[in-house]
Amino acid sequence: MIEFHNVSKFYDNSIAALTDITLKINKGDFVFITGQSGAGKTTILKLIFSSEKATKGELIVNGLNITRIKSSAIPYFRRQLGVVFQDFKLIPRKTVFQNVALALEILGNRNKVIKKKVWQVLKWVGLLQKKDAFPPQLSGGEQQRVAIARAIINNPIILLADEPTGNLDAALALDIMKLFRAINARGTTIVIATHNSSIAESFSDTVVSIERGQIKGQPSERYSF
Amino acid sequence: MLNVLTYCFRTAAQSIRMNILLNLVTIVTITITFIIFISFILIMLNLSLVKQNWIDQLHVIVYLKDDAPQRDIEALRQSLVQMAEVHSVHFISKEKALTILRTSLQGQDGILEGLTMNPLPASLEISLNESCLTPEGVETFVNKIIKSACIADIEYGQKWLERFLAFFGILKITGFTLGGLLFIFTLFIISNTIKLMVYNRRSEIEIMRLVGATSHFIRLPFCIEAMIQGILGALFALLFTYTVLQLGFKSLFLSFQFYLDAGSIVLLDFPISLYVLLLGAILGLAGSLASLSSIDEMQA
Repeated sequence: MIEFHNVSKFYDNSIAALTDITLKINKGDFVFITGQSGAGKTTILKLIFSSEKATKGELIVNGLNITRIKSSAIPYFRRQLGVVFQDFKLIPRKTVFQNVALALEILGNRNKVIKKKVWQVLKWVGLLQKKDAFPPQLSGGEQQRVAIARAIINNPIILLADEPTGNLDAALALDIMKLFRAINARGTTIVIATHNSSIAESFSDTVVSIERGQIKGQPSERYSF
Repeated sequence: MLNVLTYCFRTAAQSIRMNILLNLVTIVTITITFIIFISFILIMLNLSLVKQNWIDQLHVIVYLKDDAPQRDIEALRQSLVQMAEVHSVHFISKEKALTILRTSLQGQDGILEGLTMNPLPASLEISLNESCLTPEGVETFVNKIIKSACIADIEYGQKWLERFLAFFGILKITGFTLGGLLFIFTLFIISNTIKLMVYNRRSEIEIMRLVGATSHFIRLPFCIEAMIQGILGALFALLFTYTVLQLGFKSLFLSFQFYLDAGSIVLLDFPISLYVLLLGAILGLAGSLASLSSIDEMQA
């Protein structure tokens, strides 16, 4: 599903964000990428998401070599992915319903179809009763659920999450992780970047540790909770 | 596609509602610009009609010598009729010329009481074909016929014609320059408004990129919003101009028609109004496109 072949990423001032990364993530995997701040975790996700381009090496996602992808093709590639961020990235002037519906509206879906799918997914994340609320009116955990709902509404093949529990307390973090577990159970490949190794160890099948832009040792396989 | 367009129109309408003050300022500015533009267009169109009407009525008057034999005059008339430049020739005898003068001096014809003889010459009034109705065309024709022995003098209003055409030419250049400046100003206003809106919604644009929106999908609501601004500005300008014309300036135009013998005058009619609205839409679109290149730089 995701294959890094000797991928390196250098920025303009020759600072190496990633060096010679070789990694394979299979379909249906639930992978944690752990490491301290600045280790390169977010850079890995940005490369998969095609928000950044690798300086060296090749990155294959779902059979597509995205190191060579044209700019005009990126939006269509991203529609196969779902992304969740630490700061939720919701549009404050749109309701919960409208935030989640956005991912369907860009595809030109009819209003009837949008309504049905959004209701379904909001019910699944437990926020149907808040569909008319605005993000600032929600708690952190609720906002993250909305972000997750938006990320999964198009049934993405891969879900990327960058520090999804960074702004949440332990209890809420656990809830969010259980949600990710449930999404993974439906067949979606999940890649989560986090500095919280204890969560990774509790939930993951595979943990990839990054230090100074390089993979530390071999990705470990843990018993999933 | 229809659903995408519906979304874009809805988003544009929401944006206008949310930024009502900014949009109002932009629309008012566009309205003022278009009022100036429409006024100038109406003046230019009507002056153009005046010009054409005067030119159409332009005659070359050939004054005949008093002692010219009638057969020579007739021969001259026949040769003029056959010339390609000539549309028609009318002979005005000395007596008829005096009668015309008496009629034009109605109420003041006492001036002519002391006349013991008719001082007015006979003349040939020549209408030229449209293709020759230019200062150069008229002058060339006059030079062709002036050598005839019967002709005492030729008059064709050369001085006023040249001056009027020169004036009209200056007016045209001024009009185009003013129009060009107004358009650039309008483009600038719309472009800056859209830039401001893009900046205000940069976080939203970033999020739209995250979920796979294309650049066209992101741009289209802004383009629609700018076109609505342009169309509304043009529409309000048309309504204002129409109201002003109805309230009193119409009589001014009609007196303009009378005194300048302009023939029919041009006021705001449906084709002109449609062109103005279309121009508003085009300016809106052009203004928005000029400012939306920054969207491509907003990478998620």
